[in-house]
Amino acid sequence: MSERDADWQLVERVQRGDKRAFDLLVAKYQRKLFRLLSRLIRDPAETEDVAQEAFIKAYRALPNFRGESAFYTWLYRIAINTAKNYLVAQGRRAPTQTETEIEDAENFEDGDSLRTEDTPDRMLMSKQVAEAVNRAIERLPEELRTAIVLRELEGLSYDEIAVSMNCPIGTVRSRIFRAREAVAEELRPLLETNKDRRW
Amino acid sequence: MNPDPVHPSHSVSTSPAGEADDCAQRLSALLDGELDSEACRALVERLRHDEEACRTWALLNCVGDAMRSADVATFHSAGFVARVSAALEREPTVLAPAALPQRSTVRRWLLPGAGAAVAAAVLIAVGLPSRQASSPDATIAKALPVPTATVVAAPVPVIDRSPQLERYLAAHRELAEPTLMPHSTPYVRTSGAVLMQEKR
Repeated sequence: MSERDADWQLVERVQRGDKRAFDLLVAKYQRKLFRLLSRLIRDPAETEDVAQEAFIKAYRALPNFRGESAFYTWLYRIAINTAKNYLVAQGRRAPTQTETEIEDAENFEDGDSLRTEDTPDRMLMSKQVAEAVNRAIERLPEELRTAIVLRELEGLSYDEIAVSMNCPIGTVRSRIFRAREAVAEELRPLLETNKDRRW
Repeated sequence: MNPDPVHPSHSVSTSPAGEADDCAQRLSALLDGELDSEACRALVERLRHDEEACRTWALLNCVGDAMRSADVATFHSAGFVARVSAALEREPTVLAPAALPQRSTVRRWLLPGAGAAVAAAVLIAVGLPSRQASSPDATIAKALPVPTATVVAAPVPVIDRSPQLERYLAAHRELAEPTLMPHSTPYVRTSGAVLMQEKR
């Protein structure tokens, strides 16, 4: 099953009236959306407001989403339109170069083609995150490292990983989870996902 | 294929810690789209009241983002999902129009046939008595089993007609050929006669 199928599973739940399933999609895509919007709207507080508006618009429009495109592609489009409308309402407009780049970025999962204008704080944090991930991955047993890399970086399904690693699917599932758990422990101090907060 | 040599006992557990671990593992599988719809439903239901599971979901998603791009992971905003969720509480619940249930092919073919059968039965019930009266095959028809149909007779409207008109219609009825709808004929003729009288 692909990531698109995984999203569709949650989308269908929302379409049947399950608001909680939409929270899972928000938790999944908030960072990608923030990064995309931060190219248009520099201020972090404004970016968050626009992101929230985009998610609410997406929720309202979800009954009409039929899965012709991937959920995140559809969501990004809504976010970009929301950002453009916001800037027009503020009497501002997106820089032409960035606009073009964002339109192009719709074709890329992470929008990596976008020009980065990070602050020193963000650059430092990005470096710390990368180091934490590398540290965690290096410490993993070989089986876990291979499983998580095949899944997260190569995008292989559990079936494909099971064949590749010559082990049962249940083992693949366990290995991927254990690897994620180890990386998450390294990331937790950096990402404020402490026990005081629900999400 | 070999069992997992690293964590062979993580698949099933009944202790609270083991249950949380099992839940986290299912969240990981959900993230990868490797959970069936029933398990997905149960897990989403659990997230309504399990705050630890919500945090785990958020963190597992962060891991994927961080592995693919450390830059994306830095855009994590703690509490954002809760804020969106609170805003959505004020929104009416969305419901996609449900797909119409597929009618079976058999039913689609049976319906017109059943309608035709009912129509034929009505025609037979209405037209048969007059035909039997004039047809040489009447005795044969009487011998055959006639399908019974429960027909509620509509009250016959009482038409106030002049004796002169009654004699005229009676004379015509005797001369007229029996039709498939003999009982409707007098009304048709009456209507026609009334129209003709009005024209005059």
